[in-house]
Amino acid sequence: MALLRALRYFVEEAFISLWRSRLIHAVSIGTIAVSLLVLGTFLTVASNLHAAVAEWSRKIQIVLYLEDGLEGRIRESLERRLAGDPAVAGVEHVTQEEALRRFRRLFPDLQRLPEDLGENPFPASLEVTVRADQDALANVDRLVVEYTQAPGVEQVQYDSLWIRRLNTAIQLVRWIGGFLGGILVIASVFTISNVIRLTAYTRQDELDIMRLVGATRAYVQGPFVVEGVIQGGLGGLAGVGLLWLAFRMLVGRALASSDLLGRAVVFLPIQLAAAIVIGGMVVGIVGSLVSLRRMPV
Amino acid sequence: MIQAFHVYKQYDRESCALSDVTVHVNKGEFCFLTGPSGAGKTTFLKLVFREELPSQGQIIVGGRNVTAIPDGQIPLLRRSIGVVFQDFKLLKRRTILENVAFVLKILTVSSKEQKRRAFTALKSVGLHHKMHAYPLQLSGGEQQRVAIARALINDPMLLLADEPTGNLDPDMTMEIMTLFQEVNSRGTTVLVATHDREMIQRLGKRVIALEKGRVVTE
Repeated sequence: MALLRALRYFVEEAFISLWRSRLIHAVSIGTIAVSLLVLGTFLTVASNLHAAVAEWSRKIQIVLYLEDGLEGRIRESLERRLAGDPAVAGVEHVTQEEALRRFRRLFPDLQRLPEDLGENPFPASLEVTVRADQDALANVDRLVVEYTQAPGVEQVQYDSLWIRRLNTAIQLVRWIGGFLGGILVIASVFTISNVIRLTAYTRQDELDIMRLVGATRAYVQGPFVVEGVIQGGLGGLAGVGLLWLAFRMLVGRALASSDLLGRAVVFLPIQLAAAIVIGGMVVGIVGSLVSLRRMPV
Repeated sequence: MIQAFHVYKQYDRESCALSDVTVHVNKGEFCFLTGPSGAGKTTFLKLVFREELPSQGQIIVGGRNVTAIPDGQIPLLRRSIGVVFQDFKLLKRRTILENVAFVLKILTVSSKEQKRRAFTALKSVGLHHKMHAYPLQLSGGEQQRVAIARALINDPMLLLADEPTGNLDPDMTMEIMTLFQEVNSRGTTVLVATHDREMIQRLGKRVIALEKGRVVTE
């Protein structure tokens, strides 16, 4: 009961203080909002790219081109070995004729090319679909090494390299976002800390009286910490809100119709959006504690 | 109630606010701390309620060595001491009822109980009829009485008053002193810092005199 009364007092005092110095608090909330907006932007970009890469990773294929005139039993043996591999989701045998048909379907203008060459230039192949899991890229590497020298295999082709490069790019986006966001978050901590120091200064008489009549440090500082939490939380909400508006206005129009990533561009997952708001509150707590650490007993 | 042993307080190298002060104030006693301005009266009071620490020496208040208590226990010490300041130290944006109740608020006493006890405390200083007034709407004497009500609301074992009549006329001064005597008669130890010699003589209580930070009479 006593704790509830104290909490009620903290919240009441915090709101009174926020209202009394509303302009300076608005600036502080704005600073936090901008910082978290920048962080949220990078997180949105990174999470969309990450989801796209995960989608593409599901479609990774290895193509084993077979030697011309390969005996059926060797091909079947290869197919059996591949089908038995736990990393392989499926194996499809593409004959020379099927390869030619595909070519003609894809390039109708070059229908006559094989006749001009006098033979079917397309080799038979085994198209191997790798199981989509976290080890997919590592499994591709293993399969490539394992089958490059396998009897009957002319050449192995795979397309994971660019996915690796994209993964590195995503890491880079995350690092840049983390770095910039980190700097801005630290700036927010200092902003909150200075705003709270200023409000504490304007209420110095009251704080002195509180101490002198026996208020504990926690009781004196409680309203300021709550004030920091409210500032940080509002900053976080404003940041996420601005991000959502920007997303709707820019991304919604520009990318909704395009198929740039091969999937719909989406807003931050709710967990990340909540984490940004909670992060704002943590910034508020840290900022208030930084400003109060030298308050006398 | 108060035992100070060889207490020194130095703010800078050149001057010493208190120098080798050894004094005792007994439980239930009414005592004056006197001396000219700058003698160290306020400094001594600040050391007693642990607003400041002595540079050297020990001070025991109500059996507790205030120079050695941990930070976390300082609020507990202060709750057992009522302090009346020369400048009243009232919260200007709160009514006098709220000012008096504030001490109970920080103890998380229920709102109803806060009001009941604050009203009783204001009644004891004759200001209950002005409980909704703000400090700046009251005269200096009335503000001082509010400060006294606040100091007494938690039934302190010790009442410290720093020049409580410094801004008051003689009639108001006697009124405040009568209040202090009533408090003292109920068992609270009272230590009043003042340079008003006439008042000291009129009341005939024990006097501790300080001069340039040293005890000259006890």
